[in-house]
Amino acid sequence: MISSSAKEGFNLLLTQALKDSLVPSGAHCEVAMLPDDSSIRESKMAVLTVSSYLFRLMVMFHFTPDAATLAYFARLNSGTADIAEQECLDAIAERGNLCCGILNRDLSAYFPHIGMSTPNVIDRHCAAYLKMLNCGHIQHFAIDIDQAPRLHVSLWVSEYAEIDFTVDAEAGGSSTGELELF
Amino acid sequence: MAQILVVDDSSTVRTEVGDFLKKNGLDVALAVDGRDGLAKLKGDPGIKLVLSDVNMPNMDGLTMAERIRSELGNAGVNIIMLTTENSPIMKERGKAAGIKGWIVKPFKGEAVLPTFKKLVGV
Repeated sequence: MISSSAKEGFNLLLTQALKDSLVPSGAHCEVAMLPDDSSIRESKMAVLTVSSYLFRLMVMFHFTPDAATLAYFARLNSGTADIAEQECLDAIAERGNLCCGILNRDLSAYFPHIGMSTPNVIDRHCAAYLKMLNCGHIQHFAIDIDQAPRLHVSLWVSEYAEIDFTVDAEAGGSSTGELELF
Repeated sequence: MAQILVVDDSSTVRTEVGDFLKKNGLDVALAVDGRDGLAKLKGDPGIKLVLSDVNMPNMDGLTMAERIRSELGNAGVNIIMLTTENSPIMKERGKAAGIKGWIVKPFKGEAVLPTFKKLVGV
């Protein structure tokens, strides 16, 4: 069983991680929670997991490798609008990796023994099999960013024990990009 | 001969980091995972700095660091991890393997370039 406070916490931390990883600096972004997945029609998903011995959390980044999506991730990664499809798939997977890295670090404040996977790109039809996991928390998100196609992300949390925690919304995230010398 | 070896399974990261370092006058070699990184390091005695991801298929970055010290006996090369991970347990394992430092992604080149240049002797 996942408490309502924990569900809110997962949603809040993922929302923050999405804003910090998928949005260019200075761009306006709205992240909305969807009541179901009926509006999600993209053909592929980049999937990452964040796991502890208490739960397994999956984040799915839905996308169709069309011209608008390719152009958005090309600009996001290199500042150019020219990118091949395979490079785009890798760029989306890496953005997912950054997002789940943030989520992993933020969740480690509540669950010290935690780790994350590398990204995998799979077909959307695989999503039907996720229902067999009997997840205790599922939430779909729509992300609207300036000059970008609408993006969709899904969060599935499968618990192995009672999960209850409360996120401190005021807590700052860890710093990134700095070299910590040993 | 390269001065810096960039090891990451993401072609996006290899391109971003490699292009930045080349643009700033450094010679760069690229590897797609820890196993490839070990092979590239064995074949190029000019490499002074290894910049590596942690989570990769075939061989992860921390295992690669341990094998650089134990198998290659290469204590001279500096190893820095570039990863989304920030776990104290992983950092301790890295320290035990003799890594020099840790960067949490995303890569911000200008912030680390002076140190990289110092480590490769430029």
